[in-house]
Amino acid sequence: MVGSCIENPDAEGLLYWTVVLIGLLMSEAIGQFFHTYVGHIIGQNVIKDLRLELFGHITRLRLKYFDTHPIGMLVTRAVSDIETVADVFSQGLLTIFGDLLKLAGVLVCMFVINWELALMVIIPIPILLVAANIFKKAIKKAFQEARTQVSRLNTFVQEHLTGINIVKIFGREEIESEKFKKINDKHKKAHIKSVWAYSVFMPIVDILSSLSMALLIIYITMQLDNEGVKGSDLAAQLTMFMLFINMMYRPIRLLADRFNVLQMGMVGSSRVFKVLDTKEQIENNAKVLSKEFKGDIAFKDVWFAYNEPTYVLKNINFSLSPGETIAFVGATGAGKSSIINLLSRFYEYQKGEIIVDGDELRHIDIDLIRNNVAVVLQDVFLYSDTVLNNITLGDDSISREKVIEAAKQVGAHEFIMSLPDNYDFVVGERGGMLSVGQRQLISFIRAYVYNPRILILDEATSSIDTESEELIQLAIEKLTEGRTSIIIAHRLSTISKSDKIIVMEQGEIIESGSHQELLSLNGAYKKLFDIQYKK
Amino acid sequence: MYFCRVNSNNEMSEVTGKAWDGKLFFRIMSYARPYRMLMVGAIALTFILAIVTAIPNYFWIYGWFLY
Repeated sequence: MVGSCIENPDAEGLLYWTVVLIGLLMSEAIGQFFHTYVGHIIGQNVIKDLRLELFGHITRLRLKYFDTHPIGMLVTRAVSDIETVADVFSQGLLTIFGDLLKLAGVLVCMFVINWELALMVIIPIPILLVAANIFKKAIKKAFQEARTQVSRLNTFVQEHLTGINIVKIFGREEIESEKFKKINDKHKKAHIKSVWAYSVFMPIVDILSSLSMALLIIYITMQLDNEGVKGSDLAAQLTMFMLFINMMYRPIRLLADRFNVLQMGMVGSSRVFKVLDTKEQIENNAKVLSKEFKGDIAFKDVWFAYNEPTYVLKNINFSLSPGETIAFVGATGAGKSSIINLLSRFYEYQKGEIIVDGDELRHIDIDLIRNNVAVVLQDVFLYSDTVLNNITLGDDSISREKVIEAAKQVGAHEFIMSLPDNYDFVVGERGGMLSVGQRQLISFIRAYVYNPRILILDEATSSIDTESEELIQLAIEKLTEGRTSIIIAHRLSTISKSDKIIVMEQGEIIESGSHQELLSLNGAYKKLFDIQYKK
Repeated sequence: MYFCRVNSNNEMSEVTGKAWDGKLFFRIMSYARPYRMLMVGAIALTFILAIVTAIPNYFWIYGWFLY
């Protein structure tokens, strides 16, 4: 072939083989392009599906899970940990497979040509396997630590940027920067550890490659003494096997690199799967899948603890007829908001029964409950989106006209029309472009358009200034009209018209009755009333 | 308070010491099932590429030393 064409000058033959080689190299380039492209397409599709599953799973987790797991950690799982899984397909698995094939090809050729020389060359391979095994363990541990540090970094940045005003108010910039410096330093060290393991392995491969060559040379030198062996043949075999050694160790070197990627993907995916395997969902063993909600509610001997055995609700009993309004008052930590958490099925109660329209709450489909119960919280969360989208929450069945009508009913239409783009005004992150009262009004419209049978207002008026209070009060009256309502409020002026008021203390009901009844009791409610009105 | 709440139980997935977790690997692979045709194509391409990449080297060795 090439050799014969040069030895016996044959320009035509040489040109032929040159064209063949160029053709092969071109095919390799085209093949490489498709290989890379397809690998990335598979990787990106896989992480798209995985991310979708993870996000869906996270949103279905019960609130208790979020009490103990930082948001920054979940962000890391859903964004950067998943990203490493894509690399398993695009840079890891397929390329490892290719490298193994190349390695197998070289070994077969070596054994076919000269099995004795081939055996000499592969003597260091067992050492390589042991080194690779140690490397794999070290790199896995290093990657796990690196991913943990990435997660810690994300959590820290996320929490501190969310609470940036606290950092500034308390002048903690330097202290927090110092804390960040430590976390950042651990992050760096974790990455350096993985680089260290990698850096140690590569020279080992080079040393073993040199050892193969040395063994080859020693063996061929020993053959020189044998009779009937031509020196030129041995020289040719030496050069040929030198090339084979290079061809064998090249994929081995690359394999270490690919294995890095694969291991990183495995570590990332194990962390993603750990979240996916979390069984922290509220069990939906619903027997009642559809029903017309009237709003009849009864709590019977209900006991509840966020962490057993510390009960935050003890033996709670009360009932509410459709269309009635009940109010809860009491000091912070008395258990008022826990009642709402149970009714919305954010948490599970341990003892007793909650009956809604004749059915035990646990037997009613969660979606059915959530479609009929609306909660307006003190701290209104608005997305960085338009006023309209913040009201509809992306529900296309709620028309713009319906939203405008609801805003008029609640008394918020005028303020929305005064905004630059009216209903299309982008409210900024967490609704930062609006005042607290305006944000609260938007949350009222949100509740109004969903037309729930049961309405819960959890200290919805606590942060409102006196000017907005009247507007909010009117909105509340409109909202509670004709529907069962539960109001938690510190300001007694907002609940005095309620059908029933329950006073709570340390998880227990200590007084209940109408505003006048409670005043005449001259107990805890009267004391609260006196404190507020003396002010 | 908003300060970092990370604890080692939540964060650190257990270091098993196992260098290769076959169960985990197959679980990752299960996500590629909807794209199995692409996977088959990519594996076939890997085979072809392994051969095409190696041929020039073998040409050289065979042509120079073994002809």
